[in-house]
Amino acid sequence: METLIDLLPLFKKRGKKEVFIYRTGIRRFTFSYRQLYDLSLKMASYLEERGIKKGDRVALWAPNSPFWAVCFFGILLKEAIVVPIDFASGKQRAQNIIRLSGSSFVIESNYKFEKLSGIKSIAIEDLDFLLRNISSKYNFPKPKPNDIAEIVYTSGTTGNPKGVELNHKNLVTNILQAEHHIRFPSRFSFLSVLPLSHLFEQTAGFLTPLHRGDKIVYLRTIKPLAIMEAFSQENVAAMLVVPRLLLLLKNSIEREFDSLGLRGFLNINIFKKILSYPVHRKIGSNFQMFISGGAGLPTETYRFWNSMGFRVVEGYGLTECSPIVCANTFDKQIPGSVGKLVKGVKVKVDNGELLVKGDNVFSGYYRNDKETEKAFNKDGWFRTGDLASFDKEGNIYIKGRKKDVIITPSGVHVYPLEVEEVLNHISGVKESCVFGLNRGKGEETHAVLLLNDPNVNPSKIIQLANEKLDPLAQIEGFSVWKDYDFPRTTTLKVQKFKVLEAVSGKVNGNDPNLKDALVSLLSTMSKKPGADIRENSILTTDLGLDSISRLELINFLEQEYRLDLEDSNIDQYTTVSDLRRMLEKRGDQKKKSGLWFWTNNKRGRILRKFLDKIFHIPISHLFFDLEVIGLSNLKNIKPPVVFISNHVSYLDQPAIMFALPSIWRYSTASAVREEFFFNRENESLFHKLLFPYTIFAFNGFLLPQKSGFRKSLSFMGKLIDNNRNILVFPEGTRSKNGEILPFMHGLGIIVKELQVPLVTIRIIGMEKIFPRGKFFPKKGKCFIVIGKALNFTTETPSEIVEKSRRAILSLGNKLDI
Amino acid sequence: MLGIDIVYLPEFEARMKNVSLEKVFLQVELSQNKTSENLAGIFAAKEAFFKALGKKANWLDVWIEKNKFGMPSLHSNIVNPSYNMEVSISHKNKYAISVVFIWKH
Repeated sequence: METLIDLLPLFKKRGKKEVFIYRTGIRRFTFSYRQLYDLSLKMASYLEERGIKKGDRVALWAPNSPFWAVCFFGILLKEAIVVPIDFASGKQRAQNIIRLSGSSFVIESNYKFEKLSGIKSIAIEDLDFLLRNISSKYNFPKPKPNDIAEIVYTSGTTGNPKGVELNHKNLVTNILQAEHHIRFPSRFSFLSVLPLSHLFEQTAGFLTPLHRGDKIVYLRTIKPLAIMEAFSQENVAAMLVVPRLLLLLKNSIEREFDSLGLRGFLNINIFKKILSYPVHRKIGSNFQMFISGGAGLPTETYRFWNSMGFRVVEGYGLTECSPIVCANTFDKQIPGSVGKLVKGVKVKVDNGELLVKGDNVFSGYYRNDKETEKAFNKDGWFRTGDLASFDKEGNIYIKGRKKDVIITPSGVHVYPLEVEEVLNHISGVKESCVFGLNRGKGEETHAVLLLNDPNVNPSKIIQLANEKLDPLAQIEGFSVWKDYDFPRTTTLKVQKFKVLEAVSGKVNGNDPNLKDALVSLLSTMSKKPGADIRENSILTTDLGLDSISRLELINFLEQEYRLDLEDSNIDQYTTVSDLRRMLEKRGDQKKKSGLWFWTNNKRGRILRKFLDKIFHIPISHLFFDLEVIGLSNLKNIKPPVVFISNHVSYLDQPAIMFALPSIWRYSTASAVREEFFFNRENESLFHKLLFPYTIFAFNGFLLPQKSGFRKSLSFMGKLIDNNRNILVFPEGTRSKNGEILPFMHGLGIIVKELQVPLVTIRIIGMEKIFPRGKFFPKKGKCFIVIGKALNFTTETPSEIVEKSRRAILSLGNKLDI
Repeated sequence: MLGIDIVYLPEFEARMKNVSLEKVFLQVELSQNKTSENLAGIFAAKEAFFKALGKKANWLDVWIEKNKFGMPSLHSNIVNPSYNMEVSISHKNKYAISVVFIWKH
């Protein structure tokens, strides 16, 4: 392999083998290697149509997804240069990068507010439909190993980030180095949550697995709940992490044990081993390792995971080195060390600073000769700016940093000078001093303020500063310097280390009422002191939380407590104690959801076949004579599909089921209105018994009409993922005389999320047999008309509802009855 | 049933930075509304809807679609289709405001 283009023929050869799994929270989409190949070629053709020429820079500002990969390879196939931008970055930084790189095209995402102006663009979410009609015939280019493949801008700063130029040779070298060094046994599946714009994820979690033929899992929404679900459901073997992520997962697990009252046991070794079993089960038995990079891994975090029996492989690198310089291996990890050098990299230590040379090391910064010159010494060795030492076996230890930059636990570079600049321009600030404060969890960006006016509110100043700074480079902690001035040298330069020393000793002045994390959060949001927040305070009226606060609160609960949005029913009446109860009862949220999947498996099918044969079908003959029209339409349709039908009677569902051929009948689940069984005014024993019977005997599942249906939607996604069909009655209720009522709007959302064809069905005659209002059916003839499949692409939800309603209406007209 | 809500754009932008948009807006809304002003208007419409309904629900249970003239229409899966829903959105300087009216024939 000489260039990244050489990966493409490998993709083609692997054919149907799975390469990507994309979990949207509702559906699980799979992509094969061959599809990646075809889509990449189509993307290159598309870029050509849009006027992209060889050497053009194309920016990619989108979250991780299979289409990110398609864009990446498409751009390279067009012989253009990829300029990846961190999706978490703000518009200002993105705009700067566009300007500095001279990008002529940007691929953005609808999931970000801010869109770039003054440049040709497209939303990555539109590519799926756009590329469908493009031919995948494309002339393969033959780039040279020295051709620049991408320009990656150093993170964190809003000012003038440096663009690292990486050519094919740099990247290919590091792929092979990574593969050789960490040496994963057999095939792996990776969970990819770190941004692909960052070279760590790109090389180790994307290009290397693709070279090896592994599988990569992407999530549409990255949140702890989705990560945990992906772990167990996808048999994930490895995941790249930054120390902050390992810390978040650690906190999440500790909280879980907390709620069970087992937190204390975690600290006792014997119990820790026992408690690690449920954690291993949650993360999956296939899980082999975390690969940590981007920032130094705090020993405490490493020890937590290690003692639970999880392998954590730490490495070290820089964007300028494509990026891996050294790493521990699959077989051996040394805590505190970043392992041994990868093959082919040469290093030396100059005045404590680590210098690197090798084919994976970049050649310079884009259009920035000044910085390029500073980066290399006179013999062409790259200056990492990090201080390192070796032990006897050749293991490397990173001792500190020469350059004045803060590296957060997320691997983001924050430049203190820039942050100070922003702070110094805010009124009330005489001067500021910014540095990384390490309290055992990694470096937090900490600002110490020297105020002009003792009455000014420091939190407000920090807030204003953070609004100006990039979302990735936020100030996390602050203190106010009480003395008249900062300690200075004789040349009046601020002695940062002294300020750091003074601040490290202190703890942020704590309001004793804020020891509780929940009260603390509510205090921040409501801007009320802890004492004002009582257990019976209503969030909206007493604490004044507005609608955006409600959203921020739910977001926080989801991130910190893995609480699902559906479970956190925060409305205008919720009190603080309601909230607390929600957090405590997290584990028992499995209320009667009426969403059981087993009815779709073999046992469920056998049960239904039996009941149908001896009971349901014979009884149905007493009530209706079925005539089915349009069965031939089913022959050309590939499952899974969603059947929709008009609704006049309780006998509709059985009639449709018996009309369908056995193969369709027993692989279809029917949506049942939740409000029929629950929350009725006249709930009786009859309804209580009917519910389980409907679920088991008719393969029903609950679909609410008055409350949110996200859970049911997820369930439907699971049905579709497992090739089961779904039957829905969009009118939501039985029509009195057979007239087609307006359809529920939710149908449009269902179709858009499930992305399967709709098959229309019309029932005629049932309104005479067992209409609404009658207590007993009167025998008669019933026609079931099956229509053609409707396929939707870019229609809006209401357009889908409109089209499908018209289709059902026209099905009735075809018949002269 | 009537509801109204107003959104102050700079505050909305600042606070929404930390929230993933897909918690609040559906795909169709994100593809039809590319600026933060437009999304602020959509958010105001959703909040107005909750007020009209008398119940704070999930932001994803209600959505706004715009026709080719930019005229918004309100849709929800928690409201019976026999109800009529009307929505209107307006923008001026740094504010977005929306009013929602729900009624039965």
